Amino acid sequence: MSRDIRSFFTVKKEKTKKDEDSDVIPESPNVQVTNKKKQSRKKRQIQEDSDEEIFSAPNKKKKSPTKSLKEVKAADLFGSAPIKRTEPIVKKIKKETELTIHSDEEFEQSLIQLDEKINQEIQATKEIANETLTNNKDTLKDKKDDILKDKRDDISKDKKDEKLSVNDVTNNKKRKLNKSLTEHSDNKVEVSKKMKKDFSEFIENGDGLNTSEPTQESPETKQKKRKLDKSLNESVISDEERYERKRQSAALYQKYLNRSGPKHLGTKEMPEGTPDCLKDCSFLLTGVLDSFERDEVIAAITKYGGVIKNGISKKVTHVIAGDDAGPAKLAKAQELGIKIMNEDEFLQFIRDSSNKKTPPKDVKKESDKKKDKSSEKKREKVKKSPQNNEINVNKAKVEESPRNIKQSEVKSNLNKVESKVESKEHTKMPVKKDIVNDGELKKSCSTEVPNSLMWVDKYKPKSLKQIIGQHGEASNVNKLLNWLKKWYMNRKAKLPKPSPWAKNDDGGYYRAALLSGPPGVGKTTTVSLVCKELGFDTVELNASDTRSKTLLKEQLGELLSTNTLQAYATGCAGKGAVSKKHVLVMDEVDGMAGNEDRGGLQELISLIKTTSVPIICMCNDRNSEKMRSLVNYCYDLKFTRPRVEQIKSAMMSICYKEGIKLSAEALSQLIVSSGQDVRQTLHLLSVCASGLTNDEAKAARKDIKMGPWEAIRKVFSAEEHKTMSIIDKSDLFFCDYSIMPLFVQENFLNVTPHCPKNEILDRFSKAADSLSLGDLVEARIRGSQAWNLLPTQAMFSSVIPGHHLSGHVSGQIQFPSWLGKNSRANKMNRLCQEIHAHTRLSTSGSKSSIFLDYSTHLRDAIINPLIQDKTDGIENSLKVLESYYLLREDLDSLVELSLWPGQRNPTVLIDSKVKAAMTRTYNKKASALPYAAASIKKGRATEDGELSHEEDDTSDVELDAMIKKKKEPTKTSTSKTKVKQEDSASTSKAAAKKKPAPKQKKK
Amino acid sequence: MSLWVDKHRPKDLMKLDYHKDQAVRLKSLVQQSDFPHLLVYGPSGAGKKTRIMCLLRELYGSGSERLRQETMHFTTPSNKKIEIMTVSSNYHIEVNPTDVGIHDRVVIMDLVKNVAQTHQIDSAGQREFKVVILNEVDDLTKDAQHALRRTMEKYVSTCRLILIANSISRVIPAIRSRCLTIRVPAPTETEIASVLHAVCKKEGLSLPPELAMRIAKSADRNLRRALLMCEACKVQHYPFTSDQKVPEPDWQIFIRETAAMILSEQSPKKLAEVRQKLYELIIHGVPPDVIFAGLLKELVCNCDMSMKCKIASYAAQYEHRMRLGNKPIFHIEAFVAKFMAIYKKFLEEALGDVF
Repeated sequence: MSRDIRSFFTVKKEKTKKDEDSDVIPESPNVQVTNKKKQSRKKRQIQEDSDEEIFSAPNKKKKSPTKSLKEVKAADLFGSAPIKRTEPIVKKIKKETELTIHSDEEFEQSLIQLDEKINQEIQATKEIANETLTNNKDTLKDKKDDILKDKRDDISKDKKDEKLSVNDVTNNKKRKLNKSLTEHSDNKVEVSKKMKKDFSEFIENGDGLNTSEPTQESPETKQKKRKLDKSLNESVISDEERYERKRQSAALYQKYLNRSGPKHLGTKEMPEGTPDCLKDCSFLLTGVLDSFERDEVIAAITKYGGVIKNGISKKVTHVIAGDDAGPAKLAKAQELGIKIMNEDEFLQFIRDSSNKKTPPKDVKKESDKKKDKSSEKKREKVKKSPQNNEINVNKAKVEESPRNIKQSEVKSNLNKVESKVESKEHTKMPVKKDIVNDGELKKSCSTEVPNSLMWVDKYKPKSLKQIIGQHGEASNVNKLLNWLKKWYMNRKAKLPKPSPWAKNDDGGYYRAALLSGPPGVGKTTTVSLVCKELGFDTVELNASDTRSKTLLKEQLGELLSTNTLQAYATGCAGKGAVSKKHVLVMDEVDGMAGNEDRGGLQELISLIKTTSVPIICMCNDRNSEKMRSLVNYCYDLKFTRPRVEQIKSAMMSICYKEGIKLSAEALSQLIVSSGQDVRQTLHLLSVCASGLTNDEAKAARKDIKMGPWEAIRKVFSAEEHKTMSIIDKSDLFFCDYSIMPLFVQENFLNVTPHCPKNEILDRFSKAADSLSLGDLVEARIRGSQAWNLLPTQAMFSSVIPGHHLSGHVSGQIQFPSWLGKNSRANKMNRLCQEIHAHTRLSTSGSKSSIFLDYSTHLRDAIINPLIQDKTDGIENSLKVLESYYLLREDLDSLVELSLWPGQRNPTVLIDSKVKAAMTRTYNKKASALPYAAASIKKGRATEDGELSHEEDDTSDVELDAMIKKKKEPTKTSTSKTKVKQEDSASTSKAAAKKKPAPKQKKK
Repeated sequence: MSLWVDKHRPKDLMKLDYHKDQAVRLKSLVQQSDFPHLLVYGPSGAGKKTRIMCLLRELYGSGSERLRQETMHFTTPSNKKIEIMTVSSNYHIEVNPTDVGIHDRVVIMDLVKNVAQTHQIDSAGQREFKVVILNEVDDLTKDAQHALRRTMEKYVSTCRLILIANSISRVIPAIRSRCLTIRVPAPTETEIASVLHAVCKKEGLSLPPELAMRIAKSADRNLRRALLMCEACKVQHYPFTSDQKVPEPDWQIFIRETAAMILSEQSPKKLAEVRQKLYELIIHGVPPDVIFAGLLKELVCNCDMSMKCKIASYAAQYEHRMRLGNKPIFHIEAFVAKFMAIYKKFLEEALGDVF
């Protein structure tokens, strides 16, 4: 991360320098910190100063005269001289300064080449340096006052706000620049020198950390490269750079998308070499490497003492070529007889040379290489811009290290400045030291960061094509892409709602999309990539946000009606900067639960109804109760698990990149065991990377919550039994111990055991016997809460039957019918109990006697007269009903009770007219019952748990029911309207229920 | 117009048709001042309830025949409200505690307490105690039975319990010892036939004695069933003929069909079909022990003697398990599977002998 930020930061700086009018750089804490760090670093480096400063001083001076020169080859001028590690930093500084001042590309080009030359031939330029230094002195004296002012401003500013953002610093520098420019416009050489000084100082202030770290060089190199590219028309552009540019313009981003990064990023590891193993080597990188980012390689090279070159020259000892290597470079390299190596050769080279153990020339450097490097760089800078850099000089003084003549001269020049600045500096010191420590810490972290990235993030798809299992035309990615593309058009079109069964619906009607699917299949990735692709700006809310009704309403409402300034932030000002292209991404909508998110879903739905931006929702289970309402308003995109082969191919390449040796079989086992969960598989792989053998990989399996449907197959599967211990087998039972016994019982007859034919029935009887024992154990468990018996039940109800019937389940797994049958039996029992209660007074039998004996005969006694005598039989059948105090409804119950499968329902024989007439007459003459009909009904209802205070009222109701019914005949006879008669039953009951209410009112 | 079985129910101890000596003994029991708790047991359709109603009439006079139905409400310790239907006169209350399932203990405790705590208002001319009739005592949970035994002693001064059970094997000994147990055996076939004759005579019909015997036989010594069948015969075909078809209960036919299925083929597939039949039987409220008995009776017909013993012992074993367990179908199925295995082996051996 930190690396990213740094590179981001540097890029921005460059940018601001380039287009000096656009000053908008977001102030971020990171940026501020680095600023501080840089300053402090400077100091430290100075403390470590040694006599090597000599070399750097000339460098600076060299530049100024060479500026006017064009295209002078370093090799021609200076030949090959020993290469210093300090060069990258020097390069950078110069380049940046030059860049900022001169936008002229050609000039830059020449400067870059000059840089290289300078870097290589420091000693050769000593004399020239001396000359220029004296020049410098003169100019210095002239400008002393101005500079001093500036410095003071700077320092005071620094003091005031140490958190001063880079912005401000750069502004300061610019201001200074301008000043110096205006003041010394006559003396061009001086001006340029001055500017250089200013900028070198700036860079030391603002960029010290960057320059001291190997990774920091990436931006400069990139920039240089870019220039090179422009001039040479080379197509080699590092993607790191592209990555940065991407934010600036959509066009660049598109290009970036088209270009692939390192194909097998991270598959190889940078070998550990001895610190100086690449000493005396200078490298040129060209093309896209196979498994490393450019920065990584650069970091490694500088770490091991090597030097990075940006242009091909004789000084370059090795060319590291990747894919799409610049043809010009390669040709030149061949011409010069430079060794061209590929990535692997390079790695091997590191290994080899580290084994050789280069003679320790520079003891100092070896002792702590990095520090030395950075300090060297600093020293060089100090020499370059002694006047500006009072701080450095100051420090140097404190150290009292031996100085060369030039240094002392500079000092004398700056004496006055020092005396003034010193006091301020001292106050600054402690703070800076702290920061230095921080900086060091950060540095150490930052070097590790690339490795600590989780694989899931490391190999996150960077383009739509990389999403596993979403390649097809009809893939969800495409659907979502189309839907989102046409979203605004569709809003205007006002499409009709498609039928839920319509195929190839593009979801035009819907304002929201619902992505559903199991975890780890790439829903979120898809959404973010699709949005990126179409340039939509996402507003994401996930389960970690509170998504209650009010929050959604207030916050989202505001959010979605605003314009995005994202484009401003990334620097592409103009018309395209403001867009309204939001997407609201509601991740994990099924997680909207609890008090936190109360009303969230309803609000979301109402948002969807009126939204002016596309909404994308994501959930795991679209069939869940919670999602039911939402589904109706969403374009439904169901993500299924990718096939094993699909994941496998992607994983294979990752394995290759990471250098994991895993057999294809073990890999697919891993994938299957994770349930085709890409994310899970990646995690498993990264565990494998830490030394998991093939066997272990096979054993590794995701703890999947197995449903009884899967478990039941395993219970009876002979194949599975081979690898399962008895514990595993009983674990199958525990996937749901309450329903597994029923599943086993339901399905054990469908098993085909692998055994001799004459044994089959024996085995079934043994299994059934074990099941019956299992039932005993369950009764004990439930009866006396003896839950410790569960393992015993597991044995009897699942393991033993499974053992006896070890084979395979033929046919489908059935859901236990026992549950359904049981509830039917309960219903019958309830009906029977009701009838029993009604007939209690006139019969003597128990409930089961009703079942077994009465039901049929009673039914026949009632129905037969109706069948035989039609309307005349009504009287008789009603008499039976009456004598047994049965209700009309009880007749239906009786019929149900006494009807056996295969028998014809006797009621169909009754003429429907007779039936109606019978009902009518029954209602008319409804007789007194010994029990309260209403209360019986209620009794049934109360079984469902709704017994309440109404209990008290029921007595009234009962009374009324009876009274009503007695009165009924007279009433109806007086009114005599047929309608009334027909309705009398219902009305009487309704009245019975209604009556208590007015009564209560009266009371 | 009730069915004959209810229409012609005797209402006086002396008018009972069979077990007359027992009736006499009961009458003398009533005349004594000391009336014990009773535990009346016997198979279904033997006339237990009829006998008890007669006894009550003997105790309290015709006032005990004025019955009313009431719903009583109780609250379980777990705050669940339950209600139960009771049948009561001024002198007695009858309740079926098993209607409320596992909460029967609450019913027994509260109900007996309620009844026992109130004295008769005019104890002068009446008995000092009320009677609580509990049905299906053998189906009470153990908890309820234990709750019963203390209340039986405590409230003995104000109430007497008459417990009705099919079998006393499942009544705990503590209760058995506190009661006078009265066994009401099922009537013999001749007794049933004579009752049928008497009823037909009252109805003004003439019943051929052969038909009466056939009905008595197929009624399984259950007088209620016999009377119902007789009435069904009359509906089907009147005047009676001695060879007319006696309608059997549907469930018996069903069990017989099931047994035939088992005998026809022994395979897991068939067992699955049998299972559906068994489910049907259970749904229609046929008690599982009746299913066991019915199946066993049909199945052993086709077995030789040694196998009969084996089958019977297995049936007993699984029936026992069924009583201990929760889900009868598991055990019936296990029995059927066992039978199939044994029978198949038997058949194969027999075939092997032939060849």
